[in-house]
Amino acid sequence: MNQALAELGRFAEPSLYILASLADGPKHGYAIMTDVEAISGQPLGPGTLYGALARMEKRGLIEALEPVDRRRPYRITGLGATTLRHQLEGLAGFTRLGLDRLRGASR
Amino acid sequence: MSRLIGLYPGPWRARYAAELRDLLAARPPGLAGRLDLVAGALDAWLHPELVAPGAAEPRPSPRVRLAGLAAIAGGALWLAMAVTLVVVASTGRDADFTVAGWVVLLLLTVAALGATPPGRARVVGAGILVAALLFGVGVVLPWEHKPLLVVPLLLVVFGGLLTITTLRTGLSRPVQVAIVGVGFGLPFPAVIAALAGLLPALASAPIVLLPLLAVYGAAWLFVGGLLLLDGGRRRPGTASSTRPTEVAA
Repeated sequence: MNQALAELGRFAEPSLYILASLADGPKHGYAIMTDVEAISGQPLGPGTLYGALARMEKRGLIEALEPVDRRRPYRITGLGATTLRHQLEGLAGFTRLGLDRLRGASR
Repeated sequence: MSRLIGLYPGPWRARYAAELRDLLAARPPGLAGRLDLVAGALDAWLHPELVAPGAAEPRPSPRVRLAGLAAIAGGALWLAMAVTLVVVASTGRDADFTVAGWVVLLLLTVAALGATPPGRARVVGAGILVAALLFGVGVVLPWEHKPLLVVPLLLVVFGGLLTITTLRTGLSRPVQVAIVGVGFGLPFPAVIAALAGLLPALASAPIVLLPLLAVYGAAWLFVGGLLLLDGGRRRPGTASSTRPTEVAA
């Protein structure tokens, strides 16, 4: 796990999904929640969502934009994008390694 | 549903409550979502540094903070008394809790008076004075008549003090009722009945008294913590939202 995400403890995994959700543009809380649930296939509680948002905002991984009506969109920052890229590249390498070994074992 | 947002600390609500309320309106949570909100509120209390200082609400007034400190001190001393009482009783010995009991009563009275809005403090103070006088009368009564006056007074005074102070927390009315009910309404009458000999089975097993006594102290610790940290600020949509907010200048 990337250091910036690992520091988030139990919020690390939701935060990774949130960063992935924001990678294609700003979203408000409800849109993030539904998008993360579609990505992960698991429900995201409102307390966990805002616990993760507060931590990510504090660490500069995301930033809040001006509210539209009562909905405040969040945007991924440069640091957040770098963190997400490193994490996904690490996971991709891990995935390739694991699949290669599985293929080797099945021969 | 948005009442659960009232469990979050004031600075956190100032920053996130509007958008979270909007989210909950768009997607009302089930039981798991509600539990997640409660866990989130606990997390927010444990990590106040997550919200930028600029979003913080004004600090509670010294009067309310004093009430919170007195409630915490009274609750902690009550818990210490409860543990000591049960330990001593289980060894078959007697212990005198007169001084500690009066100190607890004094601390809880300070908490209730401090938590009372200034305009109503005189009425509450007069009520406490009347209760103290009646209690004094009860103390000098012959032993066989004591329970008739002293026991109802204990119920009224200890229950009243917790109720008055809890009203100031700014939590929603159902949560306030739950705190007073679980903290006082359920255990206190049972404890007094046991100590008065009306429930000999309970009195013969002192350890059973400990959780009953402990929840009252725990309720004071919770209420005191809220007053100290949050100042009992009004929360939109709660029963206490019509009360003016008292904050430090």
